[in-house]
Amino acid sequence: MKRMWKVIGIVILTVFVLGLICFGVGLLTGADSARIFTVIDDKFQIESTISLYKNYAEQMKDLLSELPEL
Amino acid sequence: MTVIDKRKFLAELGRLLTFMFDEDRRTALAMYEEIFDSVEDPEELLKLLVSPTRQAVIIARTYNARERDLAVRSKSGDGDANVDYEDAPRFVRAIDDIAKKAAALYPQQTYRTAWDRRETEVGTERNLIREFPEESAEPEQTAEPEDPVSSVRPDETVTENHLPEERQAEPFAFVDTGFERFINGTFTEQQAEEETPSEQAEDTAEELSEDDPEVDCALTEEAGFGREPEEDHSSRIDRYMASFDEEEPEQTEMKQQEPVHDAPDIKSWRDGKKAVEKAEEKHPSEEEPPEVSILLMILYIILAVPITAVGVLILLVPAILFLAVSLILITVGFQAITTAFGGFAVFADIMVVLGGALVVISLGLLALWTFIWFIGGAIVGLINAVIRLGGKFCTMGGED
Repeated sequence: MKRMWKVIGIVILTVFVLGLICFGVGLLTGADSARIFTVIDDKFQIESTISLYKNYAEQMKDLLSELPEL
Repeated sequence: MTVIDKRKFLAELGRLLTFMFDEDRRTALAMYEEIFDSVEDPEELLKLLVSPTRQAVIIARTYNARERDLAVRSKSGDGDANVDYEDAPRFVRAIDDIAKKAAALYPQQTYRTAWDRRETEVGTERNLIREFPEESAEPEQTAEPEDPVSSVRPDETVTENHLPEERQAEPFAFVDTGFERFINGTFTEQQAEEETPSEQAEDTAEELSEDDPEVDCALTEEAGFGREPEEDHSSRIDRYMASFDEEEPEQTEMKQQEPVHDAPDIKSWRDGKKAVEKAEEKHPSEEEPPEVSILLMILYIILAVPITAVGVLILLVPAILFLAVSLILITVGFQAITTAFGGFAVFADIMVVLGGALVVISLGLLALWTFIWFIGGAIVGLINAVIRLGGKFCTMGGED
């Protein structure tokens, strides 16, 4: 089990460090977070999905408040 | 030609007798060498002996490792107590019988076996051995047929292979051969190293291409080594170490003065003994299982099963949680990678999304491994611990 922990740890750490390096290189070469978010939002409709769940939560809250107290 | 045959015979015999204690093996080889030296035509003797394997089987049938171990232990406690012929090891008597048969090949000459060549001056001879070990280490002196009249009392008549009864009851001492010193209890490891052909025989045995594992196995089982090898090995080490600890001061001084030829290293023996003890701790010898209380076992099962089930369920909750998290993170990470190469036109944005995806995947892998650890480590470990605890609990109750 200890050997497996070692192997898994090395793999995870390698991927993590590689990701950080890519992220840093991207930021250094002029990446824009707003532009990235726009592209992702266009593809996955993240903002609309978040607002949808917000509305759903508010409706549930109103519904629970209208229930008579026991 | 003859010398080579004798050498090969002894080499093969030495290889086949590895089931014996070292000193017994050297004694046996010394006795066989003495038989070879005592005959005029070794080829006749080789016909009589048939083969080394046959002789090894004869010795193996008369050799009992446990009895020899006990005999050596008791001998070390008795000091240099003399041994009667009837008390001699069975394998020694068997070889002596072979020597008598070999002597029968030459009826015209009076042949005396090693046992028959006993001398009465016990103390004198032993002092000679201790003072002049190198002189007694020459087997050629004994190998040559001696004049029987010169070594016996004038009033006695030595017949072939027989000794007068009054002499058999007398104390005796041997000087010449390993067999004689074996009987006297003065056959030491070092002397054996110097004068027996075992070393030469072992070297030649490696060269021999004839390997017969079945014979080795049969001989080992015949001698009783196959039944409890670990016990015999440890007892051999104990016996050897005891011989160093209980050695007389006089002998110790003598050994320090003499040059040591391939003497066994005490430190290595001690290290070997420690290694054996450590191995025995790791792999304790099979003992009878302790009695288990059935009532306590049932009680423990009734209590332990629900408690263990609850524990497993408690551990399953975080395990499943980690599994869900890991699946989500890995899915998001791979989605981000596909998005990075499919939706972005700027290289910097691709690198940022790719880096973020790799970080998320690494976290997902960590969560996945944590889930596996929960299932295979924590839950299985809990069950094993409960089983072990149950074993101790029931055994402890049974002993009480």
